[in-house]
Order: sequence, then structure tokens, then C-alpha cells
Amino acid sequence: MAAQSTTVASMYPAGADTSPNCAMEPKAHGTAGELTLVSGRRAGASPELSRNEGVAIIREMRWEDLTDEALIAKYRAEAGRVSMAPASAEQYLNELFRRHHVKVARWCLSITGDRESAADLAQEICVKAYQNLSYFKGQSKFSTWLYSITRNHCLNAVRSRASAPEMDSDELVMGTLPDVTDSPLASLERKQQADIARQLINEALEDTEKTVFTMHFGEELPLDVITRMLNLSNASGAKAYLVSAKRKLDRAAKRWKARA
Amino acid sequence: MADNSQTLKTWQEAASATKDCLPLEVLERIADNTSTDANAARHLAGCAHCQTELSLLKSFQESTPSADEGAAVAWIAAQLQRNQAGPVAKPVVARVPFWRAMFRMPYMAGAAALAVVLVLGISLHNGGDSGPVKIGPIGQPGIYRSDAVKLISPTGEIAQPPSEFRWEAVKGASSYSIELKDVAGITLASAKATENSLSATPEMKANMSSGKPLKWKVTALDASGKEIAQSNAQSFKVQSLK
Repeated sequence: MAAQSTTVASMYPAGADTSPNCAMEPKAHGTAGELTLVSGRRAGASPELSRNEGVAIIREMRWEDLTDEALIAKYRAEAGRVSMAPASAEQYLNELFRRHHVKVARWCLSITGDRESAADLAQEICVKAYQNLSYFKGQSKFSTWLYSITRNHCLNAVRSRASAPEMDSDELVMGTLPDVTDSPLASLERKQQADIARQLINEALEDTEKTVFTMHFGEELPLDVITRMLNLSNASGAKAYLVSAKRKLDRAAKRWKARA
Repeated sequence: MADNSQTLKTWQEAASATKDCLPLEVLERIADNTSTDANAARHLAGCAHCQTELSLLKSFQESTPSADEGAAVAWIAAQLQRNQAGPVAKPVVARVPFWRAMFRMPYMAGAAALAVVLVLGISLHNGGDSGPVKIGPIGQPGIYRSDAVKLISPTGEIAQPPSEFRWEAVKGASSYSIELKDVAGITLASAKATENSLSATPEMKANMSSGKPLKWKVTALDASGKEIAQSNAQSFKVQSLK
């Protein structure tokens, strides 16, 4: 969409090394955090004048001095002055997204497995975040808020792009998953059965097995995506962890039934 | 004999989020070691789903490309950077578009005017209302890409089964065909509408169970029932029961 392209085009920075044009004017020299004495009336005033007129202490400001949340606050303050966000406001957004696009890019790459699709996905996420920025209320860090958008957008993309269910992996586990609906659990409500299954997952599995199991059965992610997301380097990737998890759950379920 | 589908559903439910699962802002505080919430810590210790969420959140926050993905991540970042030619990023020097620069040269302006006259003359000579450009195989009725049906809702993860499907109206459409499909592309339910919305039919409602990823698409039809535009398949999922 043309409107989106225009918006996104104005979202990103190239000159990341420029200083924020904030009320506390940055200086061309000096390091971040350095304190600079500046005349309260005008620069270049004589020492006598400065002594007589009062002196303001102004901290050198650099982009890195501003937190993500401060950038958003400055963007909102600047953009609120006029109906359309001016360039002076957008520089804050540019910096904000510049800080996080590698995170988004890496996440998208692990989801898609190819850089072209990942670039498209990352672009969509940045547009979505930009369009929904007004909903960011600061209840979490901006990076956490961006994570929630990235996560949901990527999961939806995986689900919509899946042409067919992953039969091999589901059959592999379905055929041998411990049956918690079997006696003596059969009389229990489905929710209670799920609670017991939840307990077994938590107690019987190692961390990676838990993560793989949850991502595959809870989030319906394909095994190749999980392998990439978790950066698993073993030969069969997430599948090996799923098989191992099933074996452990089978044993745990038998023990549970014996106790019950 | 075990009911495999029932067993699978139980394990899927066990691996999904519950109503007690921790929101991201709480997981963020735990990740940052700033949480003092004992209840949250207790829940986390017993919940594989929250442990997974925490691990994914940390992985996102601490995202440093590994050696083998570094080049691809750099390429994606460069692509994003390439799309960043906004007003802030551009050099301060005012750039004049090439087509406007052309008109600064008197002879080019004259040539352009002549070209406009020629094009207009040829268009008038040919007459005929050719309509919008069609995308499609030569000799076959095409689908107007500019008229592709844009779906509005439902989309993504939703808390309740949708009571209504909505899309943008297509010019020239007399009716719409709506299909509900599973992720394998198998049609689960279909319906017709004359407006750009449809109340979910009982057949659709019956197929929209919690936790099941679904797709829907709309085809716009003209008065003769001929397809004039269609949407992409839009996915959505009713969140699992919590």
C-alpha cells in the first residue's frame, strides 16, 4: 500500500550518528554525559557577564543518552505540536527503530529460514509497530512491546503460510503420546487431564524438551522453525527433543497412573 | 483403545497458555531480575508455557546474530536501511526529481509537450474504453489487481469465535463468495453474501473451535456470477480455552 510505504520510508534513519535535536541542545564536541557550562543568556558572553547573569548547567546529549521510552516521549511531544509529524519528530522514531531492527531481523530469519521472506516480514512488523505506537503505554519496555508484535506477527505468518499440517511429526508423536485420558484418568474432566499433563511436562522434561514441546504443541510451530529459533545444532534438530520428550512423558504418565 | 485425537488435544491444551499465565511485562521484570512477585515466581516454576515465553523473550532482547546467520541478518538490516530514505535520513541538500529537472531545459520541455500531444492524439484515434489494465493470461478474462478484495476481520489471534466476517467492498461486485478453510486449504464451510460482510453461519461456527488455525477468503462476483476479484487467504485463530 502506498500509504504504508510512505510511512515506512519516513520511519528509518540513515544518519544514526546525528545528535537528538532536543531541548537540551547537544554540543558538537565532548563525550556523552559530559557537563558543559553554557551561558544562560547567550553563548560567548564575557566571563564577567556570565558571573552576573547566572549559569545553566547543560548536559551533553547524545542518542545513547535517551532511553527508548524517552525517544517515544520526545516524538510524541514534538509531533503533538502540529498535525503531521515533522522531520524533527520523526528523527526520534528513526533512532528508536534503528536500535531494534537487528532483533526483528534475526527473529524473522529464524522463522522463515530465508532472508528475502525475513526482510518482508521484518518490514511488515516495523510498519505494524509504527502504526500502533499510540497504543504503547509504557507498561513494559518498548523492546518487550515490540517483541509481542514480532512474536504474534511471525506466528500468524507461519500458520498462514503452512500449506499442510506437518504429518510426519504429528504422527510420530500422536501415535505414541501417553494417553492421559485412559483409566484411571478417564473419569476426570478434560481440564483436569490437561492440568495433570501440564504437571508431567514440567516435572519430567529438560528445559529444551519443554520449550520444543510447548512451541510445537502449544504454538503449533513446525519443527524446522523451532530448530532455527532455538539454534539447535544436533543432526535432527527439534525432532530429537520431541522424541525424547515423548519417551519421558510416557514413563512419567505410567508412574502417575501407578500412583493413582 | 486410546483416542489419538483426544489425547493430542489434551497435550495441546497442556502446552498452551492458561488464564494464570504471566503477562509479558511480568516476564520482562523476571528477565531483568527486578521482580519481587513471589506468586509470579511460583507460577513460573510450575509452568512450561511461561518458561518458554521467558526464554523466547530473553532470546529476542539479547539478540546477537550467530556466526552463521550474521551475513543474512546484515543483509536484512541493509534492506530495511534501504527503505529508510525518509526526510530525516536524506541529505539536507534539496534534491529535485529527475522529471522536474528535465523541464528546466527549454528544449526538453518542448519535447515533452510534443510527446503529450502525440500520446493524446493516438489515444483519441484508437477510441474505445479499454478499462483498467488486467493482470492475467492473454486472451482470458483477467482479475483486476487493483480490485483485489481486502479482508478486514477476523485476523490473527482472537479471543472469541468471530460472529461476523468483514471485507472492503469491491466496485462492480454483485455478490461475494466466502470460504472458511483449514491450514491445508480444505474448505470447511462456505457462504454467499450480497454485502461486504457476513454473519458467521452455523456451519462456520461449528468449525471454528478454539486453538485451531483457520483461513478465510472472499471472491467477488459480478451480476453474471463471474469472478472479478479475490482476496488472499487470511489466517486467524480463536485462542485456546483458558
